[in-house]
Amino acid sequence: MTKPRPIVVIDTSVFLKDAMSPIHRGAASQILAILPAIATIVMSDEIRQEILEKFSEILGWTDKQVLTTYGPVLEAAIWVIPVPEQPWHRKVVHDDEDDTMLVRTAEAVFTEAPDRIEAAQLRFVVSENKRHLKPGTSYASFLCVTSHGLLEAIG
Amino acid sequence: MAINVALTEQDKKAVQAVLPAVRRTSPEAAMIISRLLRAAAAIEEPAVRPYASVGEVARAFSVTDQTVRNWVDRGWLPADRRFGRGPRRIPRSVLASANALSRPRPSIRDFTPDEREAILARPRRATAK
Repeated sequence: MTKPRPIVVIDTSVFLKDAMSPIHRGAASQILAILPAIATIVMSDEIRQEILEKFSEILGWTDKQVLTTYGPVLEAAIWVIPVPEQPWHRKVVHDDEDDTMLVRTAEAVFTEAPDRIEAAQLRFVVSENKRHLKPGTSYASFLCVTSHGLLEAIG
Repeated sequence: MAINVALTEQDKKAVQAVLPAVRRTSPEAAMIISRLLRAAAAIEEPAVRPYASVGEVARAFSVTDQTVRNWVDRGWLPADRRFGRGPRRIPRSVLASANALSRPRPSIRDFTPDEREAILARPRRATAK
């Protein structure tokens, strides 16, 4: 029976982990290659902006280098405007106000692409920042996982 | 012995042009050349075929063949079978992300595992709201 594709919000830390990996063969690299083919990736300008800024600040990449390398991931995504921040968003991310953009982006799918969110049974926020987005916790039916956890869930 | 033969169109035309003459003087040599031409065509074929096999997709994504079959059966990956049976054929376009990410990244200095962990765990910018 056909199941709708999983919906996945990807955190900047996944892109960073791929870039910093010496051979780009870890779970983060793997899911960045796989997700555009099999999942609905959800992106927002806030996440994109953070990716560009972190890559420039930490790795010294230009915007063009980031967009060339990760173009297929960004091109495959559906773009949403994150919902406005509410007090309960912070509880999910252990009070780190900046991490709320991930859950606010995930929540925006309910209003901006309701048909997709209703159909999809698997919804993930994938991050390598295990301190703020603890694997196994969930918010608005989105399960927080690491890249490795996501590979296991979709395998 | 496996030989990786990569011929340009010009090479192929040149070889095919002299093949009749070679066949007249040395049929055995002509047969070897024909075999090499077929081998070259077989190598080039995957690049132009619009479909990839389950095995090719599995290798590109570093997963097992069974995982790819699961994705197809769940409807996550588009695929069809010729005449409704036979091996699953997956549009080669699904490999775009794997191909893009298989290219070398812009060079960066080496990070120790501890440095990588620290970078991934640190708080975001104060302005990223």
